[in-house]
Amino acid sequence: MNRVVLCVALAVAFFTFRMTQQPAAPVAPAAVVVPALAKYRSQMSVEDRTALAQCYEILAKSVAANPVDDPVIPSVAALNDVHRAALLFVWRGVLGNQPGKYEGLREELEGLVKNAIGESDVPLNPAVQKDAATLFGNIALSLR
Amino acid sequence: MTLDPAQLSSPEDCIALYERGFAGFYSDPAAEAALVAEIESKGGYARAIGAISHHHLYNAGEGVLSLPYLAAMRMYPGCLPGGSQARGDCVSWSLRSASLVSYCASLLWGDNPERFAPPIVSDAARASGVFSTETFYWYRGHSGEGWNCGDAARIALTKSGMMVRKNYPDIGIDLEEYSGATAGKWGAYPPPDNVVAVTSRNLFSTATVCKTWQEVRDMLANGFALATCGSEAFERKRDENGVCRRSNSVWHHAMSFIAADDREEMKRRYRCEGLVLVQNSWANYCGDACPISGSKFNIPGGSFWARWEDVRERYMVAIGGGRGFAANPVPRWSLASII
Repeated sequence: MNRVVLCVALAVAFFTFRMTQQPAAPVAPAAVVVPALAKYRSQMSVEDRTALAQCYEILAKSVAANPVDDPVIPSVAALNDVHRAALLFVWRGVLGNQPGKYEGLREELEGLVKNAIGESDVPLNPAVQKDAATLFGNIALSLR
Repeated sequence: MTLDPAQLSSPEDCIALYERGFAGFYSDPAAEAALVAEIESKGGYARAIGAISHHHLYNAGEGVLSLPYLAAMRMYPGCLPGGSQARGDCVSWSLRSASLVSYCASLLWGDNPERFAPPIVSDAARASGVFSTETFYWYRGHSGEGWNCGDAARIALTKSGMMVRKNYPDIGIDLEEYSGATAGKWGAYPPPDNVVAVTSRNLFSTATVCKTWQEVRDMLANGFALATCGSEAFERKRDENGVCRRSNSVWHHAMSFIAADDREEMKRRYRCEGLVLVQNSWANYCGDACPISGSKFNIPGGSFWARWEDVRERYMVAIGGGRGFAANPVPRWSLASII
């Protein structure tokens, strides 16, 4: 599991670097803005919110692509670890930010993810996988 | 050599016993009617076609390979066949294997709105099939050997659900590994109330009777495995595709259906309406895991593909749903040290 988290996090970090040099990838049309994140969009620096949005876009696509018959992310706990590792790499590793830079942002993200994927560690079924991918896409759109 | 149906020491004993006419399964129309009444009293569909129509599952398995047992094998590698029966309790083995597959498939591919989880078991318990067979057999209602699938399925809905293989010190019974002697407890007299309280914690909520290939195929395609009873016997040797032909012998025997193959090329090759994967309860008597033609997956040891035409007369009950096991909380939620 640790290797999986490391690989996903490295991929997120790599593509976050790469994508900052390229036009933004199109956001899935199904994505909608999360109202709770609107205030952070105006507070955050362009660099921070762009990198975070890209991180969530990649998470959305990666989770949606998780193979059903041979899952790389097999459970809700694994998905949570991937999410945490991706944020660690981008927020701390790429951007060099400290925790708590934007007051309340952490709690908002924790709440959104908990609501979408639940707090119990069950096998990642297609329904939860879809909910998670949709949420990550919505967060990305909200920070764009 | 005389074989005692209450003391079978090997798969060879099982084969010999059943080939000599032992009835591990016997037909009981009254029990089948009681199952229908029980299903309908809970608002369920006694026939699979009703459930398939209501839930829009029709033709889910048409033209494809459906392998719900992969859910069980992924969560619990090596859990099937789960050993070998040591007495005439094939009906409870059939019910256990079907319920294990259905439960795991519901967690992996169903919506799982209750957030049930796969129970954690020891290696020994996993090798013995994760869930107990013995507890079903305690409710067979007589002190001899053999049962029927209708009554067993009704018991799964009312008295004995999924019992995780582990020690139960509160009732003084260790179910971690299969034991023919433990399976033989009770019978003519039902288990006492304190045992019923334990065996009924994780009852199944649904079962439905299948009679046609479309019902069997579509139920399996939606993750519902079947407990089946019948008198068909099969050759011991699989062909290159894992198929066993029906033999001239008779086995009054229960076995599970855990996958369906409705692909045109296989139907043409075997001149049949479809193939069903039969999981037997005699360890790896017909071979270890072997590949599925045109697929990257293997069938479990002790299982074989059968032509639908060779099994269509069996009494077949699809098992699904039920009160599962509570999940542990996700251990590390906080983003406090990250963002």
